[in-house]
Amino acid sequence: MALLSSLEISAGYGDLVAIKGMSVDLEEGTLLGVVGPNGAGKSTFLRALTGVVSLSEGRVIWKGSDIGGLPADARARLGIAMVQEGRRLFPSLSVQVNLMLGAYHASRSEQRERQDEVLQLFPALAEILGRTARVLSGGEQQMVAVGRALMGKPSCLLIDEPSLGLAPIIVDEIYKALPALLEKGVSIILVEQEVGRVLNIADRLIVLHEGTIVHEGPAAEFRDRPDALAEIYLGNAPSGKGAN
Amino acid sequence: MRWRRITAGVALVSILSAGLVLQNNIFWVRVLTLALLLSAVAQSWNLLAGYAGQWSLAQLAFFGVGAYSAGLLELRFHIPLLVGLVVAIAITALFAAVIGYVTLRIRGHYFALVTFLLTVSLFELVRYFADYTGGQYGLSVPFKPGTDILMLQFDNQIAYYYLAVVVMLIASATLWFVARSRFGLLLRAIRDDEDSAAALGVRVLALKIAAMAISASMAALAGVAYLATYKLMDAETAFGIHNSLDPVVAGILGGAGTLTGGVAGEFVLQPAIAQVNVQFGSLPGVASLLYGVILMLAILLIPQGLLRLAKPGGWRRHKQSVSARFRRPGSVAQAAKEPANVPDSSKEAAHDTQL
Amino acid sequence: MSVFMQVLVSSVLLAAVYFVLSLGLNIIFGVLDIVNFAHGALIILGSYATFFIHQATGLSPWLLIFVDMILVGGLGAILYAGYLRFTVESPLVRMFALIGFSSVVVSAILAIAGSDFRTVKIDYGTVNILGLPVRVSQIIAFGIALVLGVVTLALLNSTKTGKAVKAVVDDRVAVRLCGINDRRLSLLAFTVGAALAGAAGGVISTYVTFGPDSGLSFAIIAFAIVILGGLGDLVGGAIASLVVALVLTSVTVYWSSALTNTALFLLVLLVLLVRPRGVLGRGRI
Repeated sequence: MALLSSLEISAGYGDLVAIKGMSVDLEEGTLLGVVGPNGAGKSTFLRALTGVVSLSEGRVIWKGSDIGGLPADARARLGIAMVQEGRRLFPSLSVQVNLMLGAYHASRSEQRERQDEVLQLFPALAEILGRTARVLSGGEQQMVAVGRALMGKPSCLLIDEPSLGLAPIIVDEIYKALPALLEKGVSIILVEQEVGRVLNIADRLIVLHEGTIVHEGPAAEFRDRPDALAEIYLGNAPSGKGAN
Repeated sequence: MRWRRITAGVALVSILSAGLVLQNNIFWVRVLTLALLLSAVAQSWNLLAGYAGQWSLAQLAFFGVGAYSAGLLELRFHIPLLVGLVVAIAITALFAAVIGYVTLRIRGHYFALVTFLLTVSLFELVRYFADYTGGQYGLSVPFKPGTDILMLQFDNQIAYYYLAVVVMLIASATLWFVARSRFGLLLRAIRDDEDSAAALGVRVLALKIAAMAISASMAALAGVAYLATYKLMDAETAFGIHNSLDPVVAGILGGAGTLTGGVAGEFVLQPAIAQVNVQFGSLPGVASLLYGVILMLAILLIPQGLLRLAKPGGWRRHKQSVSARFRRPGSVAQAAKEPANVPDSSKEAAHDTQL
Repeated sequence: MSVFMQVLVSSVLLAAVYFVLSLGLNIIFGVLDIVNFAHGALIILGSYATFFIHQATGLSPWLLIFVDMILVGGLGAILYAGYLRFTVESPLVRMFALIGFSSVVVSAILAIAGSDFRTVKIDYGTVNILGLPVRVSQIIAFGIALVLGVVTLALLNSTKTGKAVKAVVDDRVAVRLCGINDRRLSLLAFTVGAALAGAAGGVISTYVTFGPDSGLSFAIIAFAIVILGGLGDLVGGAIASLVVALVLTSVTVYWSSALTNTALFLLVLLVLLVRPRGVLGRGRI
């Protein structure tokens, strides 16, 4: 049974339908990549899973239960954490407080423990714990954002475009952390513009176009045939869903 | 569509004939005259709030500014009211435009707040400059017997009722024209998404100021008519903070953004207030209490207004939206941009009330 | 001593009281994005509560400030949990709902307590500060207001909940995604905001005479401070409190006490024109 699934979900903003009829499974311990052109609905998909956006159709299933009726904070407490597009830290608060809020319900000692783990993953954060989030560089913000999500000890991590607006070297740092997370048992859904990066670490890949899935399959498929992916990505006739 | 025209027609005929039918019932003539005059003010609120997305607490103040301007022009410069009317409207419109220039550049919160402060400030100023304005006793224009149209003076008292009808019709027609025009379309675009409108090259501030000036003019027209009818305007009526709620309550009750919401709202509100005053008139603050209660209930239960409730399908949508707001929530709605109009119940997202 | 010095001393004493007056408003605005138009009504409820309880029991009005906080805070909680959260989720709509509530409260006060002006008379004598005769009760009010302000800020900055509240001010959705129940924090913010309004009312009841409509003037002062200080910026509010106190005292002394609201209105217009984000530039537009 998949850890997290969406069953024919549709969602949007007002009259605008951003995603339609999406059915996706995330198997435990795997990394699912979601790619597609701008406006394809990738962010909306993650937001629908976490409850930031309402579903107009369909269901979201977590460990076998329907969580569509739960507000976003309840879903987060279940162990589903999201790193939003554009980081969305609390600008007026320090790095340390930002992290702490990710583990709000944990005890003081637990918080300290988890913070240490995050610092192990992103050593650069140790120096800037006291700095106000507002003044951080993009890369630092991204690390704090991921760190904050990890503070909640999630079993599932949803990351929305971590490379957006960041220099490649910085993005490398972020991506270095992902395999370690997978090893610890965190399942990941990664939405990305930079297809190349996703291909390297994803187990499965989904291609979105204008709100629907135009292709899905094991990432290995695409590693060997980069042109096939380019075709799909550039919006040519969908070649159908890949073999499961 | 047709039923709408029929109802509108019936309503219009009733209003027009009521003046003649009820001639001798002074109580009702007074109530309806007041309702008609205040309808114009409520419609002016409706224009600003429902179509331009700016929620104002100063509409009655513009009503007052118009009245005081015309009154002072007559008392000090002997300018006949009908002429003074035009000047007063111009003054009020200009005044509103200046205020608008400063306050319409920033979010709706500030606008509501500043209109509130404006009303209070005008109250103070009118009382302070009592020598000119009559202070707490108000400004009164002399009563002259006989009919003099230039002075807006009529022998037959019923003429004042019909003056009020004319005012209401002019106000509603103005709203209608604005709503139908390209101007109105742009206003609604600004109301729904100001940033996108600006990005498309719409001159947002200029249009908002224009809407404010038009709205203030409607209120000022009603103000001068009020002055002509009652021969008196005072600070409490025009700038009293309790009264300032009247056009707002009426506008919300009738339906912000509908074509006749202000009229419908006042025609429900004024008779209610009059009745309550008859029963409990001796108790202070009763009208104020009523405004408050009606406003709170209307916002909770029929935020879309009575007129939308009366539309076909309105009751169904109403039940849906009420249950959506009260029930344990479904998924949380995205933190949406604030809907400047009172949201149409059919599009309302699930609300998150679970504590 | 010169008139100016007296104005200064007076202003400093008032500033603390004004700051507490504005705190509740600012917190509610920061967290809920609503301008609490019922702020004045809540303040005056506190004043009346102190007056009547003091009259009936003889308890010290300073002690009664805590009672005010509980009573008015409780009312705020009921208002939010029992009414406001069920209304349309638009800040403008909710602001107007609060205006309605304000009307109801003030009318109720008028009906129950009448339109007479009241004040809580306590006399500990007067002291002379830099040539200005100052009532000792004013100094105590100053002290209490200072403590209230400092404690509130401290709680916001150093408790876990306080930090979560500050986070909601920054980004509500992000707070939710951290697994934190932001709706409870909204309720808390509204309750605290109301409690602070009640406390301010209690402090003010010893300072001035008040009637059912006096909440209006106090609310206007609070509005002006919040705008001048920057919506949502508490430290800016502290600075703004002093400025507003100076402006008001000067207007009263040098011009007329009958034009204070106009003076504040013009001040607000000026701020919106010149520096809409407030003194420290950190306010939300």
